[in-house]
Order: sequence, then structure tokens, then C-alpha cells
Amino acid sequence: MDGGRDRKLVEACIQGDRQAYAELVRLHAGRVYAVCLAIVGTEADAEDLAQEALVRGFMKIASLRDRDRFGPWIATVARNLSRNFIRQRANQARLLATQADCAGCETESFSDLRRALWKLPEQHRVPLVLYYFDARSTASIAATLGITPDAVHMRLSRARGELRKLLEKAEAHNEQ
Amino acid sequence: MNSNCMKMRRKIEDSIGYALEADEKTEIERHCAECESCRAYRERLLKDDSRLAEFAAPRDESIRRVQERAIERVSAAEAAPGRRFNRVVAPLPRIATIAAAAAAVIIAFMVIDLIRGAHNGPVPAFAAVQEKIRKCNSVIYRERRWDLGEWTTCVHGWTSSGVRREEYRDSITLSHEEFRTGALVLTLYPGDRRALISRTSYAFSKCVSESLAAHPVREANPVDAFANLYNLKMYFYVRRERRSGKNTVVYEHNLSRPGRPSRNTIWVDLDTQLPVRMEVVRPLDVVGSPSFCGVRLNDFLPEGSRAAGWIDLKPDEPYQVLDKFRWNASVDTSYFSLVPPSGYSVETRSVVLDGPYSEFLGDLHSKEIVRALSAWLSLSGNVFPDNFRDLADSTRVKPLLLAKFRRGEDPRKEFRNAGREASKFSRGAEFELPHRDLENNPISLVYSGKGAILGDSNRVICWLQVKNEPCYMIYGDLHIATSPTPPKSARE
Repeated sequence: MDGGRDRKLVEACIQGDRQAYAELVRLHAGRVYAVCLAIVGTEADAEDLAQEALVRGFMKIASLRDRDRFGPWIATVARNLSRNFIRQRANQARLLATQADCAGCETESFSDLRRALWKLPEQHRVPLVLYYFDARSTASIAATLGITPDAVHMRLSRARGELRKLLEKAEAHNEQ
Repeated sequence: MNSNCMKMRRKIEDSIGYALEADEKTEIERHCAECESCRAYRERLLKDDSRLAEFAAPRDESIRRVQERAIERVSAAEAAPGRRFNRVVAPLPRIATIAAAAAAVIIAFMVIDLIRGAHNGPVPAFAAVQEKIRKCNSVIYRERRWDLGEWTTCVHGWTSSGVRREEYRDSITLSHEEFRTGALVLTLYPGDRRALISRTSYAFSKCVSESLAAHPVREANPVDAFANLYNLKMYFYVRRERRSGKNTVVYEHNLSRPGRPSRNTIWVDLDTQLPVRMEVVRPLDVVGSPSFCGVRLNDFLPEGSRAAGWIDLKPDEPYQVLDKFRWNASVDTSYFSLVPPSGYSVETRSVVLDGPYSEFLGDLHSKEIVRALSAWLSLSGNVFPDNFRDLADSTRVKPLLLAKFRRGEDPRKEFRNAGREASKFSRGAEFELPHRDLENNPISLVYSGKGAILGDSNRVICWLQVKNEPCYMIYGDLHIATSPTPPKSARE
């Protein structure tokens, strides 16, 4: 992530240049979308939430103190919005059921993966989704999530192990 | 799988996607060459890795949509945020900001406490409010009601001794009603210094008396009657609210359905535990007399006249507001007196109200149907409706009402006339609606008026029979005849 470039764009935006914010949107929309997708699990909701996060980012951009860190900041906005969204659902179980149902609209080969993925705790799921989304860059994930690259590495390892267990459990269940 | 395998598997998990140190890599390779289970585990993890990469790959189409919509919304946003939020002075240190925010929260709580006074305790159950109401000797309140397109105001008073007072702009009515036996009504016209005393005694027929006896209503105390009127039983706590300088609790009786708001909201003073305000929301087609016929004031308004103040209620706007409550008000004894004030000219009337009721419910119902049919015929050019349910179908009745009454003159007057006409459909059309009487007294009703025109005295348009009563037949000229059994054609 290019902090210097983001700083210039953020400052231009605060001066009233909307084109500068449009450029920030183009640069960060993918990551914001990935964060939302990793938390809510459905593409349509992730699109809506990412859009909302980017618009809120625009409205509150003047409150951003460290202007080099637009990426992590907007990712936090997206993460909070997505968490609120999930909280507003009646309960997490229903959401999981929805996601499990949604597996039908996914290619069959991914349905088990999706189901297992959304059974992971959020702190493992989000880095895992971002890892593949973000060209396998732990530094980028670390910056987005505001944690160290080592912590990202550890979470990814744990996530892979847990995911494998869940997949094996599902396979055993299917064989029965 | 031994403890070494466990350790190795953790290393295998760490290795996915990372370049390991040479010695670590060799260690894993050596172990996997010997341990089939761990080798298989590594293969599965690598397969998961490639599947995850495929699954979580960037979705270009979704991201493009997000970008486009966000940019569009940002472009349409009203204010440039920088101009609103841009700091002129250097930002406060973070610790100072946190301290300031904490202080603001504490001050806010203190102010709220100050406003609320001593009332931070539990909210009274609505049953307690109800009990308080029952113990009151009198209540006076103002009612504002949206009726036929305008707001009317009336000040009501109820006493536990059985007197009711209604004060309108030009007149005051005081009544003492003995339920089911009769009423004494005193109407005062202060402008003319004139008083009218009306003594009414009821002489209901046997069937009406029996029907009343079957549905006893306890209204010994008019203050109770007030409670019954607004169904002050099934209310639920909603929130606390500061209203008109009082600490209040808001309760709600909500029967809304999608698209049909129906709600009573009541504000109760925490000090007295008695109501101080009430708002009633009803569906627009129920508010005002035209009810189910669907006619609204707006239907009579000329184009572009909304700006001039000719407006309907908004769907969620209360059509009835009760406020200025005074419970156990200390008023002069003359306030609820049924004796005309001195200096008034007095006129007295006695009325025996026996109503148009015969011994049979069928008689009552058939007259109501004739009334509804007459209204339809007057609008349709003397052609009977194809189906009986047309009488209750606003999509059919409303166009007829508009065709007759919309003349482009005074909208409010036209609306009132249409409403009056629409009310004639109400009772007759109720046979199409669930009705309590019908549950207790099942009615057979057959309609065969399709294609008929007013005047055919030999053709039976409709017949009805209430259980154990004679059959009532309505003919094409709207005369009613009875027979012990239904017409032959109907029985077949």
C-alpha cells in the first residue's frame, strides 16, 4: 500500500476534491469488499456494505488523523459496519444457515468450503479470505487489519488447521 | 500419529504459502517421506490452499459495482466534507480528546438526571395506571380529531357519578346516560343563552334486548367507560420520554399490519401515574366517514392544490389526539350540572326511542340491505350490482361516488356529501365482512340481482334467513316480504 499516495489523495479530498476520493475508492474498493465478504459471507450483502463503508468514509474523512493510513482506516469502517450488520440479524446461526443455503448458488465444489469457512472465528476467517484476495501479501493484510505480519502468519496457520478439521468433519458426515 | 506428528503438522500449516528456512523444509520433507498420514495431511492442505485461492479470488464484477455506486453516491453527496470538518487549529492530543469526551458523557448523564428528577426507578406496569384511572372521580381532556378532511376540537368531561360533558365551539352537551333504559341530555347554546333538555327512554324490541343481554357491558363508572373506549388494557411499555415538562412513560397498543398502521399511544405522567396524552393512528381508509368506500379528500382536490393546505393525513399521522388531561379536576359544581344555568330559556323534549326494530333480526338486516342497495341504485342508474360483494368493494363503489359528487366546486363540501352517501353502504356491506352478530346468529344470504333493473316487483333480488326466523325476500322494487321458507329456486 502506498501511504504517500493515499496521503495526497486524502488531503485533496478534504479540500473538497471529489475526484480524489473517487481515486481512493478505485484503489481500496477491492480490499473493503473483501473485508465485508469475509465477515458477512454473502456477495450481495458484501457489495452493499462495502459501498456504504466507502460513502461513510467520504463523509468522515476529515476525522482521519493519520492520513497515510486510509487503507486500514476504511477497512475498520467496513469491518464495524459488517459486524453491526451481523448483529442486526436475529442471530448468527440464522446467518450461517443463510450462507449454507447460499451454497446452492455457488459451484458445487465450493459449497463445503464455504460452509466450513464461515464456521471459523472471525479473527481467523478475515485474514484467510484477505490473504487470497490480496495476492498472498501478509504485509498488506497486516496493514489492513492493524496487526503485525507475524500475527497474520500465526492466524493464517491456525485458520488452515481449523479449516482442515472442519472439512474432514464434514466429509466424514457426508460419508455416513 | 504421535507427538512429533502434531508438532510437524503445525509446521506444515505454517509452511503453506511461505518460504521456509532450508533446515525446516528438509525436516518436513524427511518426516513426510516416513509418515504417510502427515504426507496426506500436507497434500490436503495444499489442495485447500488452491481451492481457497480459486474461491476467494477477487470478484472483479462485484468490485466494479461497488466502485461505481460508491463514486456515484459520493458525487451526489450534498456537502464537501472537508469544508465541514476541516480543522483550522491543530488537532487536540488524543488523550485530551478522550478526556473531553468522557467529561461530555458525564455531564450529559448529570443533565438527564437533573431533568428526570427523582424518577429513575422502575416504570409502572400499565395495570397500575388502569387502577389509578378507576380510582378517579372525574377526567377532563381535549380531543382533536381529523374528520372529513378537517380538524375538529372538543373538550370532554366524564364523572364517576354518570355525567358526561362535551364542549364544542358553539354548544355544550351534558348527558346522564342510564345504559339500556334511557338518557337525559342537556344542550346549552351560550351564544343564544338557550337550553334544550331532552329526555329519552329506550323501548327496544325483544330481539334487541336479548342481543344486548347476551353481550353485557360493564359501564357503571364513566371513567371506566373512558378506559374501555380506548381499550386501556392491552398496552405495552415503549420508552421513557420528557413531554410538556413532565417525566412520562410511553405505552403503546399496536395492531398495525403491513401497510395498515393502527396504533394507540399513551403518555403517562410518572408522578401521578395517569395519562397526559394519547394519539390514535388508524389506516387512512378507516379515518373519516367514507371508510371502506376508499373516498378521500384528495380525490376532490384540483390539481396542484396541496400547496394551498388541502392535504390528507399522512399514513402514520394520528387522526385523534387527546391532551390537556385533568384528572380529579377541581371544577365548579355547575361544570357537570344537568340543571340549565339561570338566565337561559329552556325547552324540554321527551322522546321514546323504540327504533325501527321488529322482533326479528332478519327484518333489521333486510332493511339495512335495502338501504345499501338503494344507495347503489341511485349511483348506478337503477341497475343492481352483479354481485352482492360489490357493495363492499371500494374499487366499484368509489368510481360511482366520484362520478356523482365530483363537480369541481367546493372540494370539502363534495367530499362530505360523498362521505354521507358512502355511509349508506356500511351496514348492508357488513354482511360481506366478519361480524360478531353473524357468528351468534348465522345468516343464509343469497343474491341473484345480476342484470336486474329497479322496478321488477316479481323478481326476488336477494333473500336472507337468520336461524329460526322467517325468510326475508327483497324484490326488484325493493319491497320486502317474508315467507316461512326460502324461495323454491333457492332451495333447489
